[in-house]
Amino acid sequence: MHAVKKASDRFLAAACVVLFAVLVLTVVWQVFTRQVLGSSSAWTSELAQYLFVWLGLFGAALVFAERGHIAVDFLVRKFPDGVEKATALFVQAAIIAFAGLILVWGGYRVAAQSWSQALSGLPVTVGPLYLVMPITGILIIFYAVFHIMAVLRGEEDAIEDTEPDVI
Amino acid sequence: METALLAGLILLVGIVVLIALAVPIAVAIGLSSVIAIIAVLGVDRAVLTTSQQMFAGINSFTLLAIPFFILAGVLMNNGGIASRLIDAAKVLVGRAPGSLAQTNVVANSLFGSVSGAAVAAAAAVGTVMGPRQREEGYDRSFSAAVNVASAPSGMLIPPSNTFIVYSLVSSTSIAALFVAGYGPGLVWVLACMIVVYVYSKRHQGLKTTDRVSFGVAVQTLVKAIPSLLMIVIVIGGILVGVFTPTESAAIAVVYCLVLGFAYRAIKVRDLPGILLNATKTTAIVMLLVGVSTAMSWLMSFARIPDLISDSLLGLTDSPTVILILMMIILLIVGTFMDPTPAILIFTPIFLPIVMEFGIHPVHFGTMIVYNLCVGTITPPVGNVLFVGARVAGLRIEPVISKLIPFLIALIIGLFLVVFVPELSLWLPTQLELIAP
Repeated sequence: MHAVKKASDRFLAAACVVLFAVLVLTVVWQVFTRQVLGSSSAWTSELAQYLFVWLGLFGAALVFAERGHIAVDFLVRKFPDGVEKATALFVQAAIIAFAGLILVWGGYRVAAQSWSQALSGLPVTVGPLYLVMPITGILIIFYAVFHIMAVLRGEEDAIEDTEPDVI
Repeated sequence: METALLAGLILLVGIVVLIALAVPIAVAIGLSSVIAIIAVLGVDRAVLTTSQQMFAGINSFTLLAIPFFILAGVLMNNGGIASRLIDAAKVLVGRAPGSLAQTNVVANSLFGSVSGAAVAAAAAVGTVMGPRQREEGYDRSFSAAVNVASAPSGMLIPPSNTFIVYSLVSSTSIAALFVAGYGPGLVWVLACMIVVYVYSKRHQGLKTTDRVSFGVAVQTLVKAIPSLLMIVIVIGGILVGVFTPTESAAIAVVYCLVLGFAYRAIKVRDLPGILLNATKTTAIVMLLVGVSTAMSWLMSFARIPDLISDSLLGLTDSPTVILILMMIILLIVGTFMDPTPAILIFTPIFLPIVMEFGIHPVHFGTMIVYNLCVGTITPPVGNVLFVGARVAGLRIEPVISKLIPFLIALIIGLFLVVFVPELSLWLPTQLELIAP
């Protein structure tokens, strides 16, 4: 399971770096064509938006891998150890329910519904672009199961100490 | 209408309980929304609708400005600008009483406005300024408190991602919000400077720094110009209408990259790490925006803002009382929650109510952001406070006691921002970004 997590982490990290780099280039290209060549192409903003959704969701999965999404753990820190551990398991269960319902189930339904709907600027249909939701949903569920087992085995603390920047 | 009420109740209770149990805020909002929508539409249509709303919420060209500003900020943090901005701040402050503490305030606002990140500012500036102040006899917990109190000012001074998030949920112009942020940002900085001034007058033992020659001063300021020029390009470009906010953010990325390479502070092999770092912050914001879109859909479906507005207006019909009530709620919420999720949750509820009183949505934006920034440094929680204390090598308790005068001054500042709309609206009106 550790090996699978490592492979998945690396895949997501590599995908995010590539998506982000292409995203920057796409928008810079858009500014260049609009400012310098005087004509903007419709495909750049459409491509940028979809790259961004993929980047955002892949990135979100990666943050779930690190248990880095912002949460209010002020109250839970006051709980006794056993309750704290139970809460940690509940949190991961909630994540599984969230990813299962919205990303996997809902995402699959949206993708199926719009499978062959055409896009104006890009030579692809919308449906496959929605597949990012079920894909990240499955990865997020995998990470949640991983954390449940790690907390049960005592390999991970019930509450992670993270200091992300204020957003 | 019964099911709508039930849905509203599920949403409210779900969000409160899940957040209290330390479920990530985005998951708490998403899960409560989907369960509430299930109560209305049934499972199959509910998951479909939630998913569609979430995707549509992220699939926005305007929102793209956020990852770019975050990336520009990370590049700036790695790009060796902190020391240049601190030196410039020192020259600007001159030999005022408590000049090193004042330098810390100004440096944080300069650094914060280019990087937009409060914790990064507190860490970068505090690491340099803490030891310098200790050498000159400043109380360690006082200098840590100065650093903590002034760090969030960059979230008000544009470019600011919190304002972009607010512009999305309130349908207001990003340009107007950016410009409106200068007044309240200045109020924040001045509030901190006044407290430092009063403290320094009372502690005469504090040395003032050596006089710098005019030549050195000019040289120092010139060195900081390239770092500050980014703000000019971004804000100027948006104001003149040459760039959309997203385009200007992309230009900012290119500019910071060039600067980082020119200063030899960034190498090509650092780039994947920098991109990944920016991805994570971006993803946290994106997921919140996505699930909040689904929540807003449900809220307007269940007419929750109307419900709350009716019960608030039943309590009192004084706009002043309602505004104060909202500000108190937000101050409490902000203590536990970051500005972005709090804005996403509370704007759809509060904004329709205050707009009935004739409050401009841009003005409400500056007050909500200012208010929630106070929350980022209010004890007992708050990452700016934790990081500020840590870089000073202190526990948070002594810092908190020195922070109290700052909090009082900042809350007086909040009153000004709330009840003097000109502080926010004068500049955007002059620039014709909003109708007078």
